[in-house]
Amino acid sequence: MAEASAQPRVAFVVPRYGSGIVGGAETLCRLVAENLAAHGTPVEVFTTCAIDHFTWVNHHPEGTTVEGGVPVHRFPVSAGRDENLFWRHHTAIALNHPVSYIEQLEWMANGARSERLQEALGLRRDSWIVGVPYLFGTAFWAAAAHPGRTTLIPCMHDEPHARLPIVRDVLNGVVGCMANSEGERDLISELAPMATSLVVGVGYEPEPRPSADRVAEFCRSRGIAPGYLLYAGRREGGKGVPLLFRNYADYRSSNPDAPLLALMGSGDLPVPDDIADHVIELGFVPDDDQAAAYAAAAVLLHPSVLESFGMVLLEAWIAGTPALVNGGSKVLVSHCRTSGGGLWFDSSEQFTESLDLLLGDPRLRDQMAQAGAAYALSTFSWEQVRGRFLGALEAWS
Amino acid sequence: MDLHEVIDVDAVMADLRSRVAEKKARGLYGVDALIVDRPPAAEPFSPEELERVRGMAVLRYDTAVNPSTKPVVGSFVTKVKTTLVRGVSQPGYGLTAQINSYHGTLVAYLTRTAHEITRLREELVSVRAEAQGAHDAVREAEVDRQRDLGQHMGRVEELVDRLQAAEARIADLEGSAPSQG
Repeated sequence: MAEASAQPRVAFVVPRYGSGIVGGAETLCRLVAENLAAHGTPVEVFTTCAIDHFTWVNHHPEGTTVEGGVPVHRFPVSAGRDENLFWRHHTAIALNHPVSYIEQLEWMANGARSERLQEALGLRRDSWIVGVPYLFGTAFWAAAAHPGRTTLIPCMHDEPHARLPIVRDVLNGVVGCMANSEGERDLISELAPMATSLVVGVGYEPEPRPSADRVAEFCRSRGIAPGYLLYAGRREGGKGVPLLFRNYADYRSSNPDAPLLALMGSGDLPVPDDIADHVIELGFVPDDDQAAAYAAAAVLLHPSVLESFGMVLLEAWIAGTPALVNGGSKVLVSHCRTSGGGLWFDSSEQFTESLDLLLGDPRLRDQMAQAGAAYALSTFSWEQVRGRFLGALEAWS
Repeated sequence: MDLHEVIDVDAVMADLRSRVAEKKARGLYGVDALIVDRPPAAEPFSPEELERVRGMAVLRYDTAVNPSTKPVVGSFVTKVKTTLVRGVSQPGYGLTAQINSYHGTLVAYLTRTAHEITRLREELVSVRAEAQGAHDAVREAEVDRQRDLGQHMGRVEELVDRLQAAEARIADLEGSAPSQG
């Protein structure tokens, strides 16, 4: 058993860290780190002082704190970043314009990079470095400097940035990659055929659904009625939020009494005027309230294609809420198909029909949520995830 | 009970796709909106004809079976029929969805084509009216021009007459003037 043998030391490298950070990869990193630490694995986190993944402005003071039982070392993002150069390359890559290898390195060098963090990592000679996710300079430069003791939790989805030669080289060069799902593992194999990968994922504890009183208290505190449609995640174009707005507007046009749409998470993508009166801004919801926020929703809407795991989907199921996801995401559809916990849409019309079905049948919603929760807890229990994580490190030793 | 064996989301999705295709074929998703407020007489196809085409375009996959009335084995036969029909329901739903989707697209295309023809007819009428208007305007302008020309010519002739009269008067005055010598 991996947990019975000598525990490896693990240094997670992540660009942003903390319970207030909204982001799938960052949240996954924090949950895995805290869970490993709670079960005896010597874990520490190396991160930057930034909290904004657009500006990378240093926000936290430099230094070490203990958060959730995990030592967290924060280092300033290196001064002298050329933001214009970064965004020029970033945009060119996103648009599939030709970008040379040198320009790709310039893009990575002018993103989230911390020389002090790099120096500190160099001193942890006996630790595994686990870089999360692949897209930022923190993991990239750590892997470039120490490929022989670095693994990645790439949190990869099929986007132009993932197809860059520098990313392929890093994936091929590290000891191994921990995928969050079989779909992500397939993608890694496609993009970097020489890479070694295993599915690890993130874990969930069996928890009772939030009580009716708890849900009512949450709604009262927010001044909202339960039964809304919920989007959980960063409010960004890349997460499919514009598509959600459009489909919701279409749905409302044929269903004027449609439930309100609640947005949970940060982001400044404006809500279109035609639905602005029907949207609830929940903003950042603390961990303690999230289960109630999910439970108060009739359906979780997940419009993103760019997912390597889809944590909010499994969280919603455990809280008792079924989901309607984007049919373009293999990962999300796979979760729904395997579990029976959600439906998916490929068009506005399917979105409308699926919502009509779910909203009109509370028993079906309950059945689907239960099926989703059963799947989440049987496939992604913490015990299994810890076993897979430590087993991977042992296999790659 | 293992709940996630109970919900076959693929079957639910097949049913949803079938419903979408059916509604598309019936014109409930955007197609009907195209013919609203159109005068029926202007359409190559009347609304009734289009509605009939839509109705025929929709295939429904029915999993109900007629119960067998055979003595003794009737219920068994019914169960076998039911099992067989449900056993092939998945590909059946898929096929129906595909056919309905095709029909829906076709009917929508037909409807749009009809509207395009109507639009072009209306545009033709409008262009003809404009051309006629332009023709009339040219004709009127020509009339105006000729009228103006006539008036100008009359004015010129009048001026010439007056000039000639003035010259004659000058000659008369010169002839009747007393000699200076």
